[in-house]
Order: sequence, then C-alpha cells, then structure tokens
Amino acid sequence: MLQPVLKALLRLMFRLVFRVRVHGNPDIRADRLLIVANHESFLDELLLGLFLPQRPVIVVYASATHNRLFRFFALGLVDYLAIDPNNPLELKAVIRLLETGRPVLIFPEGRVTTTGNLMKTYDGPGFIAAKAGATILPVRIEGAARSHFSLVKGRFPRTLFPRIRLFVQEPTRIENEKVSHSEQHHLAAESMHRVMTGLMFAGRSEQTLYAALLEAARLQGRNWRFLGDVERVDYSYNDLLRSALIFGRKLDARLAKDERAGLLLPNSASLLALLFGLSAFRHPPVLLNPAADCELLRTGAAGAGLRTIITTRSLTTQPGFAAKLAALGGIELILIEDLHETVSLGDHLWWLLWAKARARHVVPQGRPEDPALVMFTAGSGSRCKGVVLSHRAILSNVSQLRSVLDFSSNDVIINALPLNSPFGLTCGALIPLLCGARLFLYPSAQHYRVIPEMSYTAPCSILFGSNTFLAHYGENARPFDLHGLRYVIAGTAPVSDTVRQLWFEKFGVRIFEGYGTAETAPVISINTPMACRLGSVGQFLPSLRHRLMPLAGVVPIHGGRCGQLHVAGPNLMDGYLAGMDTPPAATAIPDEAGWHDTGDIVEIDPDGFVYLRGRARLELRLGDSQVCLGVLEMILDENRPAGRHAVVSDEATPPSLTVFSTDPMLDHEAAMAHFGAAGLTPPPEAIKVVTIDEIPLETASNKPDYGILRRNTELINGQTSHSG
Amino acid sequence: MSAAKRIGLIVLRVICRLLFRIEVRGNVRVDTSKLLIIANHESFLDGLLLGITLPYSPVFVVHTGTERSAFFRLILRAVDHLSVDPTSPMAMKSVIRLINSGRPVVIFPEGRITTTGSLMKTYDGPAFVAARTGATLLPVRIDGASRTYFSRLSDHQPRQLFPRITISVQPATRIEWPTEGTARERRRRAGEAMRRLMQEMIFASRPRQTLYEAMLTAISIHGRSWRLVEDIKQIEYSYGDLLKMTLALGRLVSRKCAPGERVGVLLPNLAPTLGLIFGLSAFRRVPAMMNYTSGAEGMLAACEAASLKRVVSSRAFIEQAKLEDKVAALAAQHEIIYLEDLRGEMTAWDKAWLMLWALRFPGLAVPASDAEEPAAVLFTSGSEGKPKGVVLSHRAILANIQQARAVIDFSCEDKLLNALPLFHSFGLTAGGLLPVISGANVFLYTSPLHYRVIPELVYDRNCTILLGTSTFLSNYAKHAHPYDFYRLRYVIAGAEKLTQTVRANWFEKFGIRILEGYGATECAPVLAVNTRMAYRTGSVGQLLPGMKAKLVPVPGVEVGGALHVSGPNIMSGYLRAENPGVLEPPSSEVGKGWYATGDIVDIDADGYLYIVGRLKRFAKVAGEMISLEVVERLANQASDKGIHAATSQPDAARGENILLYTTDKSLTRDQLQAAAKASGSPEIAVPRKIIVVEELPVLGSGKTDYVTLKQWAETA
Repeated sequence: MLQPVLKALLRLMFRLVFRVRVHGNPDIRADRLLIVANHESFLDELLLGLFLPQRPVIVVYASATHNRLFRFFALGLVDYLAIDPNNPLELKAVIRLLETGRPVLIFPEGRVTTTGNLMKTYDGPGFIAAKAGATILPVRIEGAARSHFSLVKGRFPRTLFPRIRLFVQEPTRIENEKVSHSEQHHLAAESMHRVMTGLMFAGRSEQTLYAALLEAARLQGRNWRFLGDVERVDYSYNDLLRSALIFGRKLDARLAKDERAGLLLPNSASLLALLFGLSAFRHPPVLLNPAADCELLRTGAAGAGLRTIITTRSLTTQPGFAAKLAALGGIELILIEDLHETVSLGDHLWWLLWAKARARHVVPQGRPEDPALVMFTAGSGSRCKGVVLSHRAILSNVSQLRSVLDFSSNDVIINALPLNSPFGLTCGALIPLLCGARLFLYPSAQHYRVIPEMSYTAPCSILFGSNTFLAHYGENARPFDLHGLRYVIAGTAPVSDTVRQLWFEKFGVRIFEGYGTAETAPVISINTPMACRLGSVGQFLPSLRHRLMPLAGVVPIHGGRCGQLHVAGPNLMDGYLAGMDTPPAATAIPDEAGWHDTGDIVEIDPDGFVYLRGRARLELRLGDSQVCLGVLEMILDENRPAGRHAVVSDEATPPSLTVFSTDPMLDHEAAMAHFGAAGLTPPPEAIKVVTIDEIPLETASNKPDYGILRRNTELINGQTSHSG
Repeated sequence: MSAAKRIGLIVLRVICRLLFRIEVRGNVRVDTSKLLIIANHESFLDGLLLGITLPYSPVFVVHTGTERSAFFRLILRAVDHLSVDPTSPMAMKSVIRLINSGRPVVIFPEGRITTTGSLMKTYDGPAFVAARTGATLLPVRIDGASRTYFSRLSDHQPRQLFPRITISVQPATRIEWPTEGTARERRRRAGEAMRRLMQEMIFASRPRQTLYEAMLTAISIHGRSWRLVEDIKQIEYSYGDLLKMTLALGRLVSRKCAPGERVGVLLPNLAPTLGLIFGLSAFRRVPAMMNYTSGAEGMLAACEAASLKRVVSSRAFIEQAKLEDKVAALAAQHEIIYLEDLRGEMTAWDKAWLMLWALRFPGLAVPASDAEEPAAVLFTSGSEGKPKGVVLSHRAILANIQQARAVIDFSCEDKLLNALPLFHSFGLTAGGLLPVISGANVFLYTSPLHYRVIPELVYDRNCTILLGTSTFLSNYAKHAHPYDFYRLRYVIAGAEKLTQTVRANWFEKFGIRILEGYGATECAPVLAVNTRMAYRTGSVGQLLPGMKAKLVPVPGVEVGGALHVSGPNIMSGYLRAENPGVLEPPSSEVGKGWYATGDIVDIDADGYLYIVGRLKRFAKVAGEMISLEVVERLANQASDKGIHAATSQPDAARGENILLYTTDKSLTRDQLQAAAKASGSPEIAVPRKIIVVEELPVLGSGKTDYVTLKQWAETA
C-alpha cells in the first residue's frame, strides 16, 4: 500500500534533482523479457526499478548485498534476486524465473564500473538469454557515473546531481545456435558483449562538433586545462572556445555563406580552434597537408573551391614553401599571426560579456547532417580524393571508439600525427578533447628522440603512431621512458613483427592495431584490451555493417571468410568532392546507397577479427578467367614474404600481365604454381615475370608506383620485340 | 661566499635539522679535487638538503625545465647551479669542464623527481660525465623527503609535514669508461653502470632492523588505520589489527616455549598466520613454516630436521584441508597448539597488558633482539630428497625485500594477490612480508590451484601484482577473461622456467609481459629478476643489488658454469634431518659464506642470467652430460599441448637412459627427433622411452615432483 506512494514520490524526486529522462520506448512487453543495462553507480538498481514500467526482478551479485546501506536504499523498494555469478546452478534459477514470465533485469558487467566505460561482461547473462530464448531489452544509463555514488577513480568530473538519462534500445535476441555446448556458451557470451558495446555506442547524442565541444566543456569544467602545444601547455576549454569563436566570427565576416576555408597549419591549438570555429559558423574547413607537394595542394584547393587559406608565418618562411604558395595562385592567404593582431578590445569584450555565457547561441544553428569538414585520402595525383565528412560521421566514429576504449580525463595523450590526416584528427585530437584527456599536440611525428623523452616527463598514457614511427620511437626510447603507457595504437600501415617484438622486449607494451579509411572518419576496426589478436586489425566497431564481395583466388588462411570489404554505418562520409577540377558544389555519394567499397581484401575469422590481406585493384579478363591484379600481388606477397611484388597490366590485345618481383628465386613457373594453388589459371603466355632490384615506391603512400612500372613494361616489351 | 649568505646557510641548517631530524650517515670526507655527487631525487627539497648537509658547497646541475618555474628561479638565485638539458650531449660537455675545473658537482641522474617513490630511469649523460672525467663518484641516498608535501608522489601516498629524513653517504667509487663497442654502445653501457650504482646505493643504505622493527617503521609511515591485509574472509585488516594480532599471538604462544625455540607453523594463507609469524619472531621464537602438502612423512622429516617440539595449527584448517591423519601422526611426538584454544587462554591480565601497554608502546613491549638472529625456518621443496630446514635471519629476509624494492616499485597503491603458500619462500617474503613492510595491500588466497577463482579475484579486488609459476600462470590465462587482468602492473614468475607459450599467451591476451625471476629458499629467496628497466626475454634478469656471483666451470658443460652466490640475503645455514638441530653455515667450494645454487647458469655481457639447467638434472648418457631440461624443451617444441617431464634411469650399457613422461598421447619419438634436428640438439638427447600418463606428479609449490618421477622411472 505504502510502496506505490513511496515509489511515486521518489520518482518525482529523481525527476527533479537528477532531471531523469527516458529516451526510447521502455514499455516493451514480452513473454520472457530480459533487461540488460550498463552499471554506472549504486543508484542504478533503484533508478531502473523506478523508471521501467515492467517492475523487473533485479539480479544482483550476492557479494553486493552484504552492505546494509545498499540493501536498504537501493534494493529496499525493488524485487531482487541475489546470486553468485560463477555458480551455474544459480544461473538456472534466473532462467526459471524468466520462464515464469517475470521480467528480469541483469547487469552483465556484474559490478559498478571503475573506468567510466564498459568493463568485462560475464558469460552468465548471455547464457541465460540464449537458454531461455528471452527477448533482450538493452537500456543505457548515462550520467549516473558522475554522481557521488559511482566508483570511477582519479580525476573524473563529479557533481552532486548530474543529469541522468536512460536510453532504451530496440529489443533484440541472442540466437541459440546448434553447436557444441561449450561453443554455445562462448558464442552467447560474445553476443551479449556485442549487445553491450552496441549499447554504449547507441547512447550518443546527435549533435555538431561545436555542440559536442560545449558539452565536454560543461562536463569537465570550462577551466580544465587539458590542451597544450609547443607554444603553451595549459589551454583550457574556455581558451579554446574563445579562440574558436573570435576567429570563427572574424573569418565568417570575410567568407561567403557556407563557403569552405582551407587550413594549412601544423599541429597546434590554433588549428584546433580554427577547426571548431569555422565548422561552428558553417564554413567547413578543408584540411590541407603542409607536407603535400605543389600539384596536390593545387588540385586539392581547386577541387574544394577554396578562395581563402589560413596558414602561419613559420610555414611561409620555410624554404621551398614559396613554390607551393605560388602554385596555389589566386587564393587569398591569411596568416594566423595577422588574424591574432586584428583581435581587438571589442572582440575580447564580446567574448567576456556576451559569448562566454551564451556560447551555444552565438553561432548559427547547425544540424548533425551538415558537412563538418573536408579531408584528403592518402595517395597522390588524381587518386587523392577530397572526402566530405558530416558532424554525424565524425562524432559517430568518436562514440564508436569510446564504446570500446576507455579513454578518460586521467589520460595524457601526445599526438604527433598530423591533424589533417583522419587518424590524427579523430583519434589523436577529437577523442581526447571530447573525453577531457590531457592532450599535447606536437607538430612533427619525425622527432624520434623528442617524443619518447616527452612521454617520460608527461608521463604519456596513450600514444598514436604508424609502424615506421613506432619503430623509431622504440629504437630511441629508454625502457623506462614509456612506463606510463596504457595504449599504443597503430594505424595506416600493418605493424611488422620486428616492431611488435621490439616493443614487447623493451617496454612490455602491446600495440593495438587498427584499420580505417578517410571515408569512414576513419576507424573501421580496432584491437582493444577486451578483444585483441596479434596480426589482426581487431573486430569491427559497433553499428558498422559490412559485406564481403567474393574474389577469385583468395583462400582463407585464418579459417574465416574472405573478400573485398564493403562497409556502411553512421560514420560513413557524405561523399567525395566531385572531380577535383570541377566546381565544388556537388558531392558524389558513396557507392550505391550508403555503402563504401574500401578496396581492401580482408579475411574475417570466426571470432570476428579482421585480417588485412591485400588491395583489390584492377580486374582484367585474361583468356577465360577474370583476374584481379591485387589478388595476384597478394598471393605472391603471402607466398614469398621476403620479396616485394607488383603486377602491371598491358591492355593490348590480347591483354597481358607483367609481374615485377624483388625475389630472384621467383620465376614464371613458380609464379604460375602459386596462382594455381589459389585456384587461378590465367593463360601462362599472358604472364611475364621480371626480377628487379627494387620496386619504385610512391613517397606519399609507400605503395608501388605503377606509373613508373608501366613505363618499364613498355621498355621491356619494346626490347623483347626488338630483339625478337 | 658572502657573510650574509653564510649566516643564512647556518640558520637554514639549524632549522632543517630540527624540523626534519636530519640524520647524516656515512663518511663525507673525501677527496674533493674531482668530485661528482649523485643522489636520488625524492622532492623539491633535495637540493636544499644536500646543500646544507654536505660540507663542499657544490654546483648543482639542474634540468632546464626547472627554470621555467618562477619559484625555482628565485631559489636557484641563491645557489650555484648550471642548467642543462639532460638529453643534449653538448650540455654534458659543459658539466665535464666544470668538474675538470675542480668544483664539486651534484647531479640527480634521474633528471626528475620520482613519481613512483622508487628509482626512475637514469639518464646516460651523468654516467658519460662520470666515466669521461674519471671523477670520484659519491653516491648519496636521500630517504624520507618523498613523504614531505614537496614530493611528486600521487595523493594516495602517505605524507607528513616534517618526516624524518636520512641522508646516507655511500663509499666513494668510480665508473670506468667501457673500452668496447661503438660510441653509442659505450654510452649505454656507462648508463647501465650508473643505474646499477644507484640501485646498489638504494639497497646499501637500508636500515638494519628485525622484522618487527621494520613493521613498526612501516606503521609509523602509513598509520595504524591503513588497511592492507585481506584474506579469504574478505575482511581488510589494518596495521592496527595486525599489530594487535602480532602482540597477542606472540605473547600467548611464546609463553609455552623457550626463547630461541623453533615452533612449527601449520597454517594456510590467512592474516592471523602473518600475525603469528611477526609475533613469534618479535618474541624471539622462530617460526618454522611447515609444508602441509608434503605428506605426513615429509612433515615429520621437517620436524626432525628443525628439532621442533611444538606446532601451531588451527582446527578449522585441519578439518577443511583434510589433514586429520597427518596431524595425528605429528601429534604423537609433538605438542599441537590450536589457535582456537589460545583465545580461551587470554587472561584479563593479558588483555590489560595488550591494551594499556603493548599497543601503546609496541617498541618496548617485546624483548630486544638482533638482526642477525634467526627470523624464520623454511624447508626446501624436497624435489631432490629429504626436506632440509633453511634458517633465515631477519637481516637476510629484510635484505631481500630491500633488494626487490630497489629494482621494482612497490607502493601502497599496489595490491598483491598472493596465492603461493606462506611456507614457500617466495610466497613468504614477496607475498607476505614485503607488503606489510612496504605498505602495499595484499590479498592472501589459500590455494594457487583454483584457476577459475584467482583471475576473478584479481579483477574483483583490483589487484595490481600477481605472483605465480609458469604452470599456474598458464592455467590462469586459460580460464581468465581478457579484461580480468587489466589492472595488473606486474606479473612475476619464479620457481620454474617460464615457457614461451605462456609468455606469448599472456602478451597477446592481456598485453602483459611476465617478468621472470630466479631464486632459492637459501637466498630468502630472490636472486635475480627481470624488471621494467632491465628486461631480456629468456633470461631471469640481472642479479639483485648487493649480490656477488661466481661461475665454476663444470666438465662436460660448455656454456656457463655452476652458479655460486653470496650476499646479505644468504641464509644463516641448513638444518638437516641427519644432524637435527645443528646449524650448518653456508659454504661452498668457492669459500665460506657462499651458497652453491646447484644450477648451471650463463651470464651475458650485460649481466643477465640465463639458466642452462639444474646440475642434478643432467643424465650421463654414454659419457655425455645431457641436460634433462633440454630434453623437456625438445618435447615442448614437438608438442605444445601436453606437459612433459624428463627423468633418467640407470642402464647397464649406456650409464643412464633418458625417459620422458608426458600427458600428450600423440607424441612420438619421430617428432622429438625432428625437433632435435630443427634445434640442432644432439641425437642422444632424444629420450629412449616415452611414457604417457594422465597427470604428472606436482609439488605444492607448482613444480614437477622429480623425486616421485625418478621413483616411477626406476620401476618403468
């Protein structure tokens, strides 16, 4: 009698002090309903007991009920069942309870998070769900970790009454597949873990980059000094916002409506401020690479329809840079130093008296679907494409990554990867910025001695790099320099065994390898502490869909499925800048309705780990069979790992192929044998094998330079015909 | 120096001496013509402390970064200093010039104030300076300054307004400029020498105490309310609780026995066991840690060797561990004291003594004793015969703890999971006594064999350090979730060789590099360990500071030699069953005070130890010495599925035959032959017979029981 009244009162109180809001439809009724939630604080039981209409029985772990306070306050008003998670018999009790028709709520993590992120999920809940064939209703609790009832350690922003939101997801199920018992147990646990990571991602809010920055500043405190660069080490969120707004407003006055502006700057806080400022005022910044060559800069700027580029004096005075600027021609250059000088007392007053308090309202209203910025894919010449990324795409990728990696404001990150590369921007700047981690932006990744030394003094806990950079850092660092490292994340190129071995031997650090493309803003898959397999690039991020286009000649080597990878998901780009020299307005959409062809040949093993096998390029009809040149290269690379190989086509009639190899042992016969073993039977006369000392490489991407090779082929063919 | 400055200095000296009760140890009078003083860096006060306690008025070499702070610029104005960038070789040249000019120079080779409380990395620069100038090197250890509010330790570490500070000046020394290798290589070598020197310094400046005194020191640092010991009952005991247990148990048990008497302890890993160990040793009784997995015969042999009259145990434990028969056998000749009965024996007078006197003045409540007196008796695992009693003095145990702390940073923020039994030397020293003495938290778990429970406990109790053997770690990895070990900082493996599969598994699944160590009960027990700063796969690390090693060539063995060691952590001596109650001090063919480990060891140019094999685990086949460990390695190469153990049996024609026991049913001699060919091992190392068994015999410590195996082989 008393209970409903008390509950209603409490509900009202919670609505008032924690401003609890329920998103989604919680009123799901099913015969066997299992509600799962992440576990942020000791309030969670009561919270869900009050706000879920099903009045579920809450499963708690026996050890938690020893605490009298907890039993009284959190469990006093709800029905609960205390179990030991490692005891199979007690799991059966939960299944029986489900079968009686009572909805059951379970926290698959089993304990209140100490990292602010998803912890491990126990096998039990997955097993229960599969065994009972229950409908699963995932609920994300967000905000309770910031109350004083949580267990998150270290510098974590807490308030007395944080805003708490409950996100109710679409109901789902875990299929009870017909496999062996232990296998089934394992699969169910895996599926439950996927439901939980999906849950952590799904709670994200749709917003713009600028709004996300404001929210991070609100959560972490506007005065949290988290950002540093070579000039200053202690910018706060307020400093960043001030620069972003003042610069943004000034540039907005100079640019036409929705006009893009180029940013040609090394890693610095100013670059970050301009990026946020411009995108907030609806001028998507175009991130240009100061290291790119003249041709690239010119086509890039033209393709994006740039009339204004912001750069810095230190760059313009660099030798050789004048030529690049000359190539740009006709484009107005604004020096950031000049921009600084135009900041007047009026601007400062505007910020102090007006914009600081109304930061949300002094910029035009943006939509998450609007383009946020433009980046360029790696590569040179015409193959380098401009990619338009929306706010939604970038923030989705940030949320996807945060749902699998526990970055927090206790971390210190040194980012030397350029912010104009997708990996450097999303992982190396936006994630730290949005989760409040301390971030130091360093302008050059090639200062191999300085970076380990900095990481010793900081001490750095997260480091990003490519294989080459990590090799050099590892070489130059002393064993203790990297003692604070929690995560080393490598992208852009596969990590070699020597580098992995070096890092193990010297620092005892495991390198997490990831995989991504500029088109996916950028991460597609990544190894994490929860799921790591050396040699793979990890499992797909949550909410990312994929399909494999079968390719002839690709044989699985990890017992999985192979093919050319296509992906779709919330982090996909809006499209490419159509034709680099054509007017900028139109942007092409990704391949057929929201799918993007990565062009990579991958293998996905039964546990969902992705292995990169090669690049699919250029399909050709040879005799009766269709062959993909990339597959041929892959076959040779995998069978002859000592050498490097490149295959070039000659589209004369009949078409023929030339295989360039640095392996002198590879002759025509051996090559044909390798192709045959993979099930490919191109006509032998159409293939020529040439041994060369070195495959010419493109400097930008480290990939074979097919242009030079093709000219070589013509030369060789010319010679043979001549001698013949 | 101006008069004003001099007066200021004197005033400062008096104030600091009073506030921090600064004690200067060692001889400060050295030749100052070319003097380089190196010190560890504990706080912002260090420069000041050295300036007022050392009689040289030296020039301080400071990191350029220090000058950025306005506060420090102010302070630096008052002292002679030279600011350099420690990574720049040019900067070091200016320090060299300074030393050659004859001014004494102070350098902090760590370059920054410690954030871990232990030694951090040492830069190569100072070593380069020391070696190049041939300067006299004066190592100075600052101890206690890290507990002031001027240090950079994390907030959880204990602080005091004015802690007691000790400055220990070590004997002067030099670093030789290496003659071999490239310039870069030489720099690195000199840097390594400097790091060793600093570690030796940290170790050499340790206080001489008994276990009980060391515990009281720790209590004065961390406070009585610091909760640190937790056991299976999931109660966290504080220092206050532990002290109470120590005093009460010590008093009650010591009443029943004579001073200096050895008392058997037959108890599992629980907090009261720790209390009893401290209590007995505080009251000058020697706890003899009984191995309850060894069977009645082994326990009786142990009792005989140590000539025990009384054994302390617990009824609940005996019942749960099903030891009734064994204890009945013991009770025939020995008095069993049950902990449960002791509670009833506590009189009102005892309570008054405890509450009114002992807990208030713990330093005065126990009889005085000396660091050289025996603190504990442990028994060798008996893998090679009857168990021997190993008598360890307070000095030996505390030395080993300090040696370990000099190379690995344990702090009160760590939590150690100790499932190794306390009767095992590693379990006792590293898993029981070290946490109490360093203030680190410890969870005592009763059995290392609960492979599912232990990973779960590590996760649930937020443990940061795990101790184990290769076998145990392999099994933990098999049953653990990838996230269970996410907080672990150190996993230390000992007692048996760490296999490559286990190492690779742990790295791939958990991202943890297992640090392999090497020890012997006789060395209390750690001899060498890999650390974060000095790690090499396949080795067992460098020798601990303060230890000396000699390799004695063994005929028939080409690589390495028999390892003999000496150092402050060596036992007082053996107690043998053949000669009950008589202490046999350590001595080996190298000399008195040396201990022959019985292992064949190779030491590389950088001082890393590689275990070649156990001297006794060689079989003489047709005149050739074949290491049985090589045979096992071959078996592991041929099949990584099962567990393999090799042993030998006498053979009339060939001297001895090698036998391989395995749990892998599919293993054949052909596979072994192929493995031998692949690894270049002699054909003769391939075992004669392969015998498949369900399970190999294992000792309580997780090692293979080779005595039983040998018995099997004799009848095979």
